[in-house]
Amino acid sequence: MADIQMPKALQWVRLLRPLLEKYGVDYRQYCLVVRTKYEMAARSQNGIGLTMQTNGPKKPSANPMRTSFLVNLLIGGVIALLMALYAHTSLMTQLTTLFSTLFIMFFLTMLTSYSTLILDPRDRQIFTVRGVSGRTLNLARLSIVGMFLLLTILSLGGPSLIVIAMSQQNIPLVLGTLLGALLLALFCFVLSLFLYLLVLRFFDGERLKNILNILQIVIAIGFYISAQLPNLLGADVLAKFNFTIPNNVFFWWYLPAVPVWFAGPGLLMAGVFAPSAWLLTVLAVVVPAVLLVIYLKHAGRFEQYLEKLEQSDATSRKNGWWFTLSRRVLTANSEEATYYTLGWRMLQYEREYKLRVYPQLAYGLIIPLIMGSAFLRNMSWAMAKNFAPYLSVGLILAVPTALMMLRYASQPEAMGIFRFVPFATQGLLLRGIVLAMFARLFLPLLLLYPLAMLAVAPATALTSGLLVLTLSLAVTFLFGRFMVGKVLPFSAEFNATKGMQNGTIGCVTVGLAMVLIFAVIMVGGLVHAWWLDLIGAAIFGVIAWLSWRSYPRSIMYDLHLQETESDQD
Amino acid sequence: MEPAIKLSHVQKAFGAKTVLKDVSFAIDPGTIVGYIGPNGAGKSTTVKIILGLLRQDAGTIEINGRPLREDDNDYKRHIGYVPEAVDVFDALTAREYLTLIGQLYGLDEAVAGEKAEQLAAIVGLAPAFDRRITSCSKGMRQLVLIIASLLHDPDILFWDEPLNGLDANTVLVIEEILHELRDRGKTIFYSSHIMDVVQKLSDRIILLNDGEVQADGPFNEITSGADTNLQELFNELTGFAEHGEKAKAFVDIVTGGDR
Repeated sequence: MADIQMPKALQWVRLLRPLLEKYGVDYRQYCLVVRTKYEMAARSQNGIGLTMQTNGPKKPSANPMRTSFLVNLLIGGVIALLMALYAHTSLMTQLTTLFSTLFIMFFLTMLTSYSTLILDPRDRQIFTVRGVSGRTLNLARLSIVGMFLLLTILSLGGPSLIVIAMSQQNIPLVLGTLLGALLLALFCFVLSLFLYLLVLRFFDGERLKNILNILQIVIAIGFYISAQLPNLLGADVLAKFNFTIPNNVFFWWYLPAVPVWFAGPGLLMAGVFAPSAWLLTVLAVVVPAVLLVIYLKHAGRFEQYLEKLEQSDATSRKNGWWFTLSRRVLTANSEEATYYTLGWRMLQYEREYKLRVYPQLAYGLIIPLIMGSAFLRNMSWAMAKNFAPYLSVGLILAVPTALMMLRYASQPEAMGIFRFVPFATQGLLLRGIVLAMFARLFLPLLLLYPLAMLAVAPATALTSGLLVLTLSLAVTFLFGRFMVGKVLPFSAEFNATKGMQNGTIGCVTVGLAMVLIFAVIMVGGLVHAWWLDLIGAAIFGVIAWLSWRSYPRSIMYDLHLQETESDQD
Repeated sequence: MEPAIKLSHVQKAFGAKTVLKDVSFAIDPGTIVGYIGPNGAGKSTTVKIILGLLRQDAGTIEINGRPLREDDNDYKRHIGYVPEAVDVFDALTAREYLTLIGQLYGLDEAVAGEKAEQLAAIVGLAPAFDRRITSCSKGMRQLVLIIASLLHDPDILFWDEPLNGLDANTVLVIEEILHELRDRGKTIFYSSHIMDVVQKLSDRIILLNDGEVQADGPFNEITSGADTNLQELFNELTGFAEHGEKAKAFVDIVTGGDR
């Protein structure tokens, strides 16, 4: 029987043949699965391949990963700049900084881009029923994700390696750092597989899908926030922690600080033969290896558990009080309430939306703290507490992303219903959905924050809260018309290419939002007067009301969705 | 002659819910079996267990006289499967997908591609053959699934709602294909909710209800020659008699009351 033809990018698979066959893998089937997964990833719209969309089979395979590689290379360049700034510090400090950044990037990539490759329930329906064993399928899946991860390492870490090579003039160090990066990627890879295995083991049906989503979202938020921790603490605080880490001393906190382990091989290769370097190297090699062996032993269960993704449960859902109350208060009529419900439900279940917007919300909460930390830290408490009630205005930083993402859905064809129903007041659809987004994501935080601030600044907590609330509402309505505008919400499948195009609009609106945030915090904090808050609230309230009124009832959306053969029947 | 498919006392529960209580039957080669039952009766679970997608809690299964083991995959080469849900890699073209499936069953790439193209041409799939499946209609996708189940010339076919989305002419062709396959010794395990088609096609009918086999035999045998059809028998055996009342209540709500 002829060997399976593999694309050029997958020729390396041949090298694995003896090892795979020894492990009990059907090599032919393995090649087929790897090739298929590669083709599908190349055509995927979620950022793995980033190719131009075509309907035919040929173009995507031509160079599927080039764009994605270039985007990561750009980010890698920024990391390399950071490395150049740290060039004067100790080698351990540089490597720790590099690996902490790469750890965040790898883990986020695993969770956002590659999870669809790992958790595809169709694999069982298509491969397992045709005699592909769990072991073969699992290893094929891991191989293709491993390959994509390797490309990610090279693009993200490559520029930093060049900076290290140029600044340190030490080739063994570069090789050691590369080894550290590979081990770090392996660690992220296996750790995320374990997380999935754990969740698949203990949950079923819809609950399983929800938990998987929550896990991904929480980790993404956690990483975004922790990445800002150094900025939040400030350079002077970090200096007190003696941030230049010596090369040859072992601190207890190295053990939980996972990215630090992977500095070990680089230190050793650079000639630092201290016990700490040896210990870190042992941790960097042994822990991922042990995790990998344990995972491979349990890989078969992964396949069985995937079946659970196909199950559904019978639990019924009830409308929450916040949904019921906000819909009644915010919507003008029953038609708008219908669209409000649609928007609310979509935001409830759209995983991609949550993955991209929730971290931005967390970011919005933390950014003013970062911006303010430089001068608030040096202020007296009496002065600083005047600024605190206005910090929630940072949330408007998330408004552009939250609005932009309203265009996308995982099943945009469902919006085709609006082609068939009488739909005279399309502006209400946009307004209802924008309102639902605001009430679901922003309003609870904007209401809770002033209440919490009552303890800190009772005089202005509520008035500043009202000011921020009206400002956020005005910004949401204005940007909503402009950004979602003529496109029927939830009518396009998200893809990273579109995401990048929207990035330009996003940058401008985020820039505007930053100016507003700065102005509100500075003016509000310096003047610190309830009457000024009320004047501001009145102005923004009027702007919000006018924008709300201005949503045209006669918008005619282009209801052209992706056509299928059946459309021609 | 060994039965092509034999299930003995198969049981399966999901948590507290028992889906298959005690299912046993044996099917001879060259038979079309209509496997019917209400939603939730356990039809798909039975098929998934036979295909190795689920593991039974108790009981044994034999395919062509060979008991299935947990790690057994070879027997799947003798089986063709059309799932109820259109589970395909729709980023691929029909040609790419069908070639992949042929290769998974051990066919050479060129042979699989050529055979798939010939079959596609006969059933009218040719215009969509080099288009991504995502842009194909429901009927086209169903044809992809049907061809995928037959490429490797299997002995046993599991077809779950195979006529979904097909036009009336194609349905006739597929029905004839089934008879032709049966006449050439293939065993066909056919599951559908369209009772008149099941009655017309099947040599034998197995009715599953609440996880148990409630009727098993040729249509004339299970009706004892009475002047009835499968739909009426189905309603009777599954204890569903109030369809008239349900329809009336439904339309009352649609039209706002009894007129």
